[in-house]
Amino acid sequence: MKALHKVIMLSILFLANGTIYADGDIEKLLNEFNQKNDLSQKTIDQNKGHLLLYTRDRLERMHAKTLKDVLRTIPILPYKENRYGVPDPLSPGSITPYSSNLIRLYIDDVEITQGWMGSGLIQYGDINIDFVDHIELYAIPPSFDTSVEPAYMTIFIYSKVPERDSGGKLSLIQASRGSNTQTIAYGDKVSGESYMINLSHTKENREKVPNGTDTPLSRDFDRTQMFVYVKNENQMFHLQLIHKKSDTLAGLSYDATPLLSEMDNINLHLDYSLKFSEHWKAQFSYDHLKTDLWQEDNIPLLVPDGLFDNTLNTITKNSTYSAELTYKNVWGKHHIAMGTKGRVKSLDSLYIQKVGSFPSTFNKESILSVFMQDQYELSENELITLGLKYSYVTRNATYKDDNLFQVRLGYLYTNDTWSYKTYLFRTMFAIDPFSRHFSLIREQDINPQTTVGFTQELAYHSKSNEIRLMTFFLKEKNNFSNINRISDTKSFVSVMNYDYTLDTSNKINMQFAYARYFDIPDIGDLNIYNGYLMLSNTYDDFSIYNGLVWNYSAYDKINHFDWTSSISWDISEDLSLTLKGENLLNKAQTYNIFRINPLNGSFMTPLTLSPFDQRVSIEMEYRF
Amino acid sequence: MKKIFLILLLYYSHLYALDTKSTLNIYHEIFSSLVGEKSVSVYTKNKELRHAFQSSKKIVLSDNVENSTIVVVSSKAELIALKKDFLENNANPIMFTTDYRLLQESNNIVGAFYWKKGRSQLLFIKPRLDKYNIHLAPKYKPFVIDEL
Repeated sequence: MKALHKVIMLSILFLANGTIYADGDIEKLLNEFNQKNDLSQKTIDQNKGHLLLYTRDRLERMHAKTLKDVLRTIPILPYKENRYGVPDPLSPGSITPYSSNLIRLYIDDVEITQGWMGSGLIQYGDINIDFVDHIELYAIPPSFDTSVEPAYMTIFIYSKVPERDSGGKLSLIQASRGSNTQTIAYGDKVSGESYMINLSHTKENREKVPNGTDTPLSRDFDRTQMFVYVKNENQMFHLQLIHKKSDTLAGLSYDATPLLSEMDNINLHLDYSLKFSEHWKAQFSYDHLKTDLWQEDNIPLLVPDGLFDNTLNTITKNSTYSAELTYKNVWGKHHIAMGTKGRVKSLDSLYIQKVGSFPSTFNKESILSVFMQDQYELSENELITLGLKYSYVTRNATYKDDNLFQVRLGYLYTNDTWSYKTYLFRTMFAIDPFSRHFSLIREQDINPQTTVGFTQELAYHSKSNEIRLMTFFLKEKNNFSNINRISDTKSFVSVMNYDYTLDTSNKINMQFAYARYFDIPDIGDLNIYNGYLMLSNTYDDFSIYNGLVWNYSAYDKINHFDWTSSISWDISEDLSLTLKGENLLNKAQTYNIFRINPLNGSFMTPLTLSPFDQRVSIEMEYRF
Repeated sequence: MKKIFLILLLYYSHLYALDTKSTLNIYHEIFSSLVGEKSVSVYTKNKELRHAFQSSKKIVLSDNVENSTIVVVSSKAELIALKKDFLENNANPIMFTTDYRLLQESNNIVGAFYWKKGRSQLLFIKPRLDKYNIHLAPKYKPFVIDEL
């Protein structure tokens, strides 16, 4: 901690002296230009919800290389993995297949979904973000014109544009335990058509997790990803491909002592958007996921009815087809958006070794939504917004259908320095088809989760300072993460942000968040605190970043500190070297994986592990 | 009213449009440092810049190279076409770019204002400025280099 203290003091000293090295007038103009012309200024929709913004400048300063580097800093629900080692921030560590379907992910305004498996976060939660310009995270259900399925939090990723990133880039990273990443990208604009291709390969050798046996749990992975787009003013086409072969930590082992725990995923995403007039837009997308799973234990596995004994090898294929048509127009002071969205999730096939092709009676879920949203200009500075959405979810076999009704009422005020917004909403979520069908506790007819919420946000901003306070009150009925689902769950969340920009070279970002969950079974009220302090300084050709993320939960009563530090040297305009350390104190937040004694069904001492490895990396980046 | 328009931004608007005020502020500064005059004639094919420059009282948009004092070039295709234009019209305006790669490719371009890692960068090359007998104010020292 002494080293960390010295680094923070040194960064503040740099910050205090920042103006010595830069000319005031031009620096001011450049800073103003950067702020007003950041690409995020063109994509932010204040009415989507409460925004946490990671601009390109900030991502570069943080030296964020994966989405995990960003998600580790979000308030209250920071990045977490589940017992299969996949990104799952809402995971309670239990045996549920996946818990983060209420967090939805979009790239260039198109949702990435795994359909049958749920949110795209499973595959994309820790992807390489070299192709990314900026990231917008919105808390609370987003405006209805953006989402097909309901969400609590939406992550909007926007890719780089050749207008600002033309040409090629090669990046090579070598990290602890032999981990390495290679990325090559090229983008350009030719006769009004922009294109970009980004290829990357990551071999990640993660820290092992002791489980009391001679074979500690592994979560290593090998991932190849491709991101391609072609777009012009009216049309956009994306192709994304991810192949990830990973060790799945505890996997389907009751007591987290698997003999074999591996998974191989191939994920394809295609989408096409067309603006065929000033008001109309159509969008189509296709997602396909093929999963090969190998699990083995010396006792029966965690699968329904103990059907597959001690070994399990499955090949699952599922496809998702999404389409939407939206219309926007302005009538007087009414800004109207309306449209319809549809999605079909299909379990194409399930092959089980020893059994063969396994016919599942439940293999299709379809969603059809209609929505309408009015944003009414109350005055020059005020806006009232009302959104309504109805979704009909139909399932084949004997599974029951759902009617989901959502409503959101909001008020927004803004002037040159102050802004305020507040929302009152009611939203309903259906559990994902995979959990519904394959969860150990069989949830065929589980009712939708209903959430009622009231949120507020007050912000002040000047040229150098931005201060923001957000508060959320939520009441949930039939909360999916609440095992007994008898009582309602209530929570209160408050987040405060402070960003200080001294000049283009020196910045401070701070966040403090507090959450209180009421009447949790066997626990009572639970308080969670977290926050961060980020300092970034540039001096001549060197950029220094220090970020300290703090987490405290009344559950384990331990303060967790996750310190990331990096120094980059711009050797020339085209070549740079970066040395980065992550979780340097080895005290980053932890989570539990529950273990069950197979002999008597009782809970064993859970495994405690951190999703963040202690890691040092060196990167060479070359532009051509 | 402007604030509410920002909130109501329709997604069909042009994604890469520049903010006029901040764009004019920085380009007024750059151009006046290059020519030392309050008003300057500029030729550019860059749509976003043309849109921003239309609101300026100090920048006069020119439709041809020979009548311009400064040419702002943004693509390789433009650069090739301009070279031909210069030869045919015996023109010799000051060349400036919004793309660092073009600064590398052409020795006739005196400077660039471009994006790198989400931050705008301003760069002038001294020998190329000297060719035009341009002497920048001392405050530009951090932005002037001798060679690429």
